[in-house]
Amino acid sequence: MKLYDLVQVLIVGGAILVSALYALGRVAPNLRGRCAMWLQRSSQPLWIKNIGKKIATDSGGCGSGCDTCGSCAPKQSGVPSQALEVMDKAPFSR
Amino acid sequence: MNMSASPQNTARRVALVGNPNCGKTALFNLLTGSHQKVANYAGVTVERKEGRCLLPSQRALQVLDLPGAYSLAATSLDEAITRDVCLGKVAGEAKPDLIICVVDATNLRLHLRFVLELRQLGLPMILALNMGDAAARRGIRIDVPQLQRALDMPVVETIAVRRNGADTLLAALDGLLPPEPQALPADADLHARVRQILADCVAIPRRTAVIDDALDRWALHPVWGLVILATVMFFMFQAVFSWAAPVMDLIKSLVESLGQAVFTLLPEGLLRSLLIEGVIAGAGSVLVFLPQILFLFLFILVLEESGYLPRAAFLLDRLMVGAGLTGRSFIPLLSGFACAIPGIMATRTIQDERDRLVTILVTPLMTCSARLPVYALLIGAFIPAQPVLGLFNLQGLVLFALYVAGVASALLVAWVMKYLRRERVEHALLLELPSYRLPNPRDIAIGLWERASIFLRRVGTIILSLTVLLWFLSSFPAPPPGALQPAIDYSLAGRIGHALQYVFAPLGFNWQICIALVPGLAAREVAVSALATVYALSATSEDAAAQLVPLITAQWSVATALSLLAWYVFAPQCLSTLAVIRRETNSWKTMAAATVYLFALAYAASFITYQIASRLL
Repeated sequence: MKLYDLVQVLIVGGAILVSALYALGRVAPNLRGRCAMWLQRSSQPLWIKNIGKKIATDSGGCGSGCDTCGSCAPKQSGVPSQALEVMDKAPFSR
Repeated sequence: MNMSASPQNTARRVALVGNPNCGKTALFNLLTGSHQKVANYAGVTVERKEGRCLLPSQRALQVLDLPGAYSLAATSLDEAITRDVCLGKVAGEAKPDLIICVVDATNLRLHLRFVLELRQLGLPMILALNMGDAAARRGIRIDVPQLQRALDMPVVETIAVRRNGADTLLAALDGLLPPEPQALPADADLHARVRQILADCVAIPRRTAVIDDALDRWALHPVWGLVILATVMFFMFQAVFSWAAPVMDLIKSLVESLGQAVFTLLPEGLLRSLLIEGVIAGAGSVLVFLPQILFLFLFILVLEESGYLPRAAFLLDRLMVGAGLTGRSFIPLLSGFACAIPGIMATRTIQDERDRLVTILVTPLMTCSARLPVYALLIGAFIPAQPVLGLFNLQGLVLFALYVAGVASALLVAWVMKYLRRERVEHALLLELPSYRLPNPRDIAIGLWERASIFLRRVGTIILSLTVLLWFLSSFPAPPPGALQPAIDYSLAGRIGHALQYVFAPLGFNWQICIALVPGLAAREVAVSALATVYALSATSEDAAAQLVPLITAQWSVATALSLLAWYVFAPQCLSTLAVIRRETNSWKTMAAATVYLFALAYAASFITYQIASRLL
C-alpha cells in the first residue's frame, strides 16, 4: 500500500469516527452525559478527564442537551433547575 | 438617599425584575455584555438568565434577568419563575441580595403597582427608570427626588439601548446596599397608591403617544389592518426570493470553484470522494441558502423591534379563538417561524394549560427556517421565476403559499382539537400593546449575526457530520465485480433507500428521497445535503458537487416535487422539537401523539398531492 493510500484511509476513517461520535452525542444526549461521567471518574488519567469535561459541558440551548437545533432556543443560564409548575397563587398571607 | 452597610456587599446577586417589555433584558445585555434576545413585545424572556457584570470599582456582580411579571401572584409559568426566584423558593438558591425594579418611564401607571408589591419582599431595592428618552419625547416629566421619597428606594434613570445608558445604575450598584424599603400594609390599595404617586411626582400630558394613536387607527382597523398584515407578509416572502439571489449565486460559484480545486489537487480515491461528493456537495449545498435565511430574519427582527407584532396578534385574535387558540398563542406561533423550539418554550406565557398544550402541539406546523433550504431547493428547481401580473415573482408566491399552508394547517388542527375536547369556553385576550419604536440598527445587526452563527454552526456540526456518515453508508460496501448499476445502488444506504421506497412509493418518492429523509430527521436541512451527496455519488460527471438542481429537475416529476413539499409542510423532521415537546409537557404520551399525528398528516397530504398532481400535470 502506498503512503498516500494509508494517509487517506486514516483521514477518512478519522472523519467518519468523529462524525459518528458527534452525531450520536447530539441525537442521544443522555448517553453522551453518561459517557462524560465515566470519562471523568477519578481513576482516569487527566487527559481522559479533560475529554469527559469537554463533552459534558457542550449542551443545547433549550437545555435538552441534544443541540441538533444549533441552539435555536435561548441560551440556558447558570443554574438550569426552574420551577415549571405554578405552586401557589398567593405568595403572601394577607 | 442614604445607603447602609451590609455584610452581603462582598458577593452581591442582583435580580432584574419588572413588568413585561420594560427593557430588563436590554439592560441585562448592557450590564453583562450578553446578547440575549430582545424585542418590542411582552413575553420574550420566559426563563431566568444569569450573567456577570464588572462594576467601576472592578468588583464583580452576579446579575439575574427574570421573565416579566405583572404580579407575584403568578398566573403563568414564566411569572412563576420570577416569583420563585424573588421569594427564594428555588432549590439551592438564596434570595437575591438586591432587586433592581425596572420600569418603563412611559408607562408608570401600570409598572409602579408591581414595584409597590415587590416592597413586601423585604429586600433592598433600586428603581431603574428605563426609557427616559422616550418619556422625555412624549413630554412626560418625572420628579425623581420626589419619586425616591414616595417609593422609599433609590431611583436611577437608565436608557438600556444606549452604550452608556446604565452608568448611573452601575454607580449606584457600586455603593453600599440601600436599606430595605418599608413594606406597605397588607390591605393597602396599590392602585390608589400608584395614582397618588403619579399625581405627586409625574406630569403626563397624554396617556398614549400621538404617533401610536395615528398608526393604530390603520394598523388595528378590522379591514385595513388585515390588508396591511397580508401585504407585509407577502412582501417579506417576495423579497426573500428576489433580494437573496445575487448573494446565493456568489456562494454557489465559490462552492463550485472549491469542488473543482479539490478535484484538480487530489488524485482519485476515497479522500477526494469524501471531500467532493460528501463535504462540498453536501454541506455546500446547504450553505447556499444562508442569504435567504438572513433576509427572512431581517424582516422578522424589524417586525419584532417595531412593536407591530402584538398588533398582529390583536388582529388575528378572532381567527385564533375561532380555531380554538387564543391571541396569546400568536407570539409562540410566530417564534415558530424562526425555530419551533423557542416557539414551544414561549408557550410558558399562556396561562390556560389546555391552550398551552394545543399551542405546543401545533407550533411544529409553523414553517421554521430549517425548512427554507428544502423549500427553496424545490421551488428553484421546479417553479419558473416568471413574473405574475407584472408585479410578483411566481417563486415568491409559491413560498408564500407554503407558509400560509403551515399557518392554515396549524389553525385547522387546533380547531379539530377544540372540537374533540368539546370545550366551548373562550379566553379573552389581554395583551399589552407597546409603543411603536424605530428598530435599532445595532440590535438588528446583532440579531442577524446570531442567526448567521447558528446556521453556520449547524452546517459545520450536525449537518456536516451526518453528511459524512451518509457518504460512508452510500459508498460501502463496494459494488461486486462486474456490477452494472452505480456503486451507490449496492451500498448500505442504497439498500435502505430501496427498502423504504415500498412505503413511500405511493407519495412519488424515489429511493434517493427515501435515503435523504432518514438523516433529515435530525435536522431538516440535512435532507438537502443528503440529496446532494446521494446524487453526487450516483452521477458520473466530475463536477457533480454543483449539479443537484439540474439532476433533480431531470429525474423527478413535478408531482414528486410537490409531494415532497407537502411532506415538509407537516412532517416532524426534527428530533429536537420532539425532545422539547416532551420536556415542556413532561409527557412521553404527548410527544408520541404529536409525532404520530404529524407524520400521519404528512403522509396523507403528500399522498393526496401526488395523486392529484400526477393526474393533472
